[in-house]
Amino acid sequence: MNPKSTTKVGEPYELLGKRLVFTNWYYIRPGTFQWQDAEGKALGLSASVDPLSARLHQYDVPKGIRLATRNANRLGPLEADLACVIQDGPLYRAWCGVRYLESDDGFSWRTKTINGNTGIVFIDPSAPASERYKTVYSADATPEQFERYKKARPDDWHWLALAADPGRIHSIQGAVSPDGLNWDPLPAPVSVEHSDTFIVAYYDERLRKYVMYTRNYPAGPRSEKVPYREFRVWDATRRSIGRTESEDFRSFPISEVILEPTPDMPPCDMLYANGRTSIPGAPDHHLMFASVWHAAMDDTTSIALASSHDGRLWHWVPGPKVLDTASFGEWDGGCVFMLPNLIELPNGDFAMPYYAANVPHKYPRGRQKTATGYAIWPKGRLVGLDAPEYGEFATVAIVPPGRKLKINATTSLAGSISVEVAHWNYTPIPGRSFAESVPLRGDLFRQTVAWKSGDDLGYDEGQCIILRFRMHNASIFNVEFG
Amino acid sequence: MWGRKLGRRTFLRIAAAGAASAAIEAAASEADDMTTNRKAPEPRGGAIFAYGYHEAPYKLDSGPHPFVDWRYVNAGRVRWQTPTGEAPLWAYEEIKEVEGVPERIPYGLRLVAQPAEKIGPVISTDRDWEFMIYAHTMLDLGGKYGLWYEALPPKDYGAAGLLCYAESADGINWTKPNLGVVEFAGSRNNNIVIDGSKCPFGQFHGNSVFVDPNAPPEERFKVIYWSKNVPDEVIARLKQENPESVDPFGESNKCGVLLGTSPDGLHWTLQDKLLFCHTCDTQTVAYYDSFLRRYVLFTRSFQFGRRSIARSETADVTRWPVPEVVLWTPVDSDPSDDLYLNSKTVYPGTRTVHLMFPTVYRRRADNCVIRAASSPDGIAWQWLPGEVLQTGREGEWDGGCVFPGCGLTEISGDRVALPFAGYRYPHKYPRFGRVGQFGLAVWPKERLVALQADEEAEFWTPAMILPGDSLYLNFETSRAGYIKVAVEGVEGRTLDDCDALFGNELKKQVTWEGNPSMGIREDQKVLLRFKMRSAKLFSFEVR
Repeated sequence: MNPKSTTKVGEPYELLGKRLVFTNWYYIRPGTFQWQDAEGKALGLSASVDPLSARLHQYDVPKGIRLATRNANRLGPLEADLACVIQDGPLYRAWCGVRYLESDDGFSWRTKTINGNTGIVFIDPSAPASERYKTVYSADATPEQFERYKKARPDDWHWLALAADPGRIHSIQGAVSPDGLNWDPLPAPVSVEHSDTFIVAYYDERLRKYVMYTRNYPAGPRSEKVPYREFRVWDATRRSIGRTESEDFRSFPISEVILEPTPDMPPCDMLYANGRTSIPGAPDHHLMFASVWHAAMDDTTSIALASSHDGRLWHWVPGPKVLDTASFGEWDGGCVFMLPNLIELPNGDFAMPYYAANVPHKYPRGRQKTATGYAIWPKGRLVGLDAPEYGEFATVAIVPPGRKLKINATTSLAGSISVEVAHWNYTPIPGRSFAESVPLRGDLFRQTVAWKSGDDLGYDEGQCIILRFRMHNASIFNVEFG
Repeated sequence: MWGRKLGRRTFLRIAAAGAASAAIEAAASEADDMTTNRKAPEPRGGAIFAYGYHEAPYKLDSGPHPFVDWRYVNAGRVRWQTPTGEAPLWAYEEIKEVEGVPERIPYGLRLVAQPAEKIGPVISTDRDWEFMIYAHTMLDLGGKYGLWYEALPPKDYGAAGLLCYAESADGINWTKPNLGVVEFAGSRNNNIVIDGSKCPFGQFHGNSVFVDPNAPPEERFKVIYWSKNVPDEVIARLKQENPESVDPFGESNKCGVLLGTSPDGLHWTLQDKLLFCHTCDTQTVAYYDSFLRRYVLFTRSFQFGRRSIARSETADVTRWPVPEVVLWTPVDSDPSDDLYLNSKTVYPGTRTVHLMFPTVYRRRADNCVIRAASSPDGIAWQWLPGEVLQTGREGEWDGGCVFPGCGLTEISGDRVALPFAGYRYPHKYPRFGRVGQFGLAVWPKERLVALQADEEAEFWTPAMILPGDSLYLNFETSRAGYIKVAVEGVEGRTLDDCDALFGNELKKQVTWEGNPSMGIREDQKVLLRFKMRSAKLFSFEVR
């Protein structure tokens, strides 16, 4: 899906950041092929040949690779409670209700009280300075707010917002701030719908729109053949993740379900909180750390990773759950929920805060203890593009945002990775072919890729490139241009 | 094919020019191999030595070599090298610039058991003496097929099993001949060859029939079966003579295994001697292993309340130690499963491709699925991924449960077949009416297991001495797939020289730019290199 119908699509792609991460197949070429005759001449669809004489020739067809998530290390409980963290240059900035926190390392926090209340906060690069910071949260609308809302947007509210709890009007509210400390609540809800926990909004620079991820429910229309007696929705549907987008932060259409429990999940699982974020250094790589609530099974949660190239179409990333509820008895042994955002710590580890309780989610909360921890992926190794045997693939053509390439990868001591840089026309750039690649081995963190004649990517300015990889017993986590 | 001396028995068999039974012929060939092609050593130091698996290069048998395990896929190695050569293992001081180079390491491969096609029912329960039929063995008798099966008669005729015989020209259409061998209910007009009530202890159950290459002609056919009602004094005597032949479970259940012999499979002499005292119930399968120079049997045993598969071996077919469990419920299966029957066999035309078709009895549903296991020596077994036969759909003739018989056999149409019994109702469902029919689980020849490359794959064989200069493959590729073979170290026999094989062929010769010769000398050590894409390779054969 494209922002506008006139937008040109296809290669070469341009990255919003400098990092290229493989969490789905978007940046990996599917490969092409050609049916050829015995002399290697291409046979078109109209060629007349017998069923046995043509041979298939492949070009850049990926082989022997697969994607797999990595388990996080758990670190916690942290001294500070964090509801959301933003990496803002060298500074880590966090909010938690009426408190604002700052840190240089992600661990030692300086706290300030703020004027107002916050939910999940984001920085809006498109906004005037007076509204640079924005937040959304779930809150009831007053009857007066709702009357004004209905006058302005008569059809843009959801029946669930009123029916779920008679007497209440569920809504999503917003606030804006010039500095993240002094907040002005918006006078009207940004949306009147039933959403609840951890609503995440951000400004999408590619779409040039505000995007909001909500709680939603894939509940079907109620039959009119039986008179309405009572509200019966929750027992018949599963919590899911909704999405809405708008050019106006003050007015979002009602969100629509974009990710629901899939048929390969146990039938009692639900998606609780979305945990939408992006990859540090790669704002165009969209991730969700969805809390899967094993509701009727044991009332615990685990975190499943989904990825998307545009924030609209999502895929579950294969592999294990990235975080599980810890063993009972531990501080996070009841349930866990991810909190935005994924950040890169100074040592290169990826970290994402999570909220946890020592008892299951709906266990009586009188003596419940909650805290915040970090899920940590050492060296930023969150999803591996794995070649357990031999593998090879090529990227789509990319406008390289730098002349050197650093790789984050591992190989066994007996494994290796070789890299080739090719022109737009698929031919290797002289001096940058596989034959001239210096094989990479071992624990490769921020390792510059080199060829016998140098470590520059070798392209002419203004050109795009295709990267080809050959891997033996290796995993690639990302590459970064510099 | 390189020259091969004919053994005395082979010479006499050819000279006799008779329609000798294929089963007997195969058995005689086994005996020949002990004295001619490969003289089997006295077993020393374990089966791998008796089978010659320690030899490098490995001397390959003639005939087909189905891929049923990793034996023909070289494991490869990582070669550690420096810019100046191979790095020493014992370096003692750190060496810079050590590089691991994969050498003949296979990739992109997996082994997958292939599901069988069902044919049947081919034999039904349709005689007065047949209330229920089960426990069956199919043998290729050269020009015809014989099938021995047990019948439990209707309740008015006692509870002793009957061994019956059917025969077929093609393995699919069967007749039950009136043999006139055994009198039953006042008549010899039947196909019964053993009446269980006349057995030493009045019982006959869980049999299988095999051809013994090690026996004199009058005892060439053997039947091994289980009996209850063994008198205490018989067990006590066996225990005194041979304590390792009695186990407590067999002793308390007063049961054990016995033997019968026959020159033709129809006229049987039942021996009184108890072979061993053990509770095995259904299907005991025996054979003579010419490498081990031992008789081997597989039967049922029990551990932790689960039926399991047990093995025993002996040099004296009348004296056996009680069997030891070699396979039981795999850890990746349902904990409610157990292993019912073993259906041990050797792939026809081979001597070392040991297979089992264990019946996985699903107590949860009271039905079965049939899996496959393979072994290079009949001792160490590996499960093959996949299922080969499933209980039929509800309402079908085999919609209750299925149990394989014995004897994987070549049949017409370039196929191999394993007989199986199908039942309309779950296994322990109250039995009424006529119970059970036989069908055939059928595979194209040598296609029980695929060495499969879903995308691109490559492997090398171990070093081998080949019995000829022509290579044939049994394979299937997608239209865009291919298989190529190189003969390592032989000029003009590289992967680039090889004419790609693709399609669906049971026996296709490999050529290199049109040349069908592998270009090797007799007794030359050879490694074959295979490269394939989107292909299933089932077997290879060198002639």
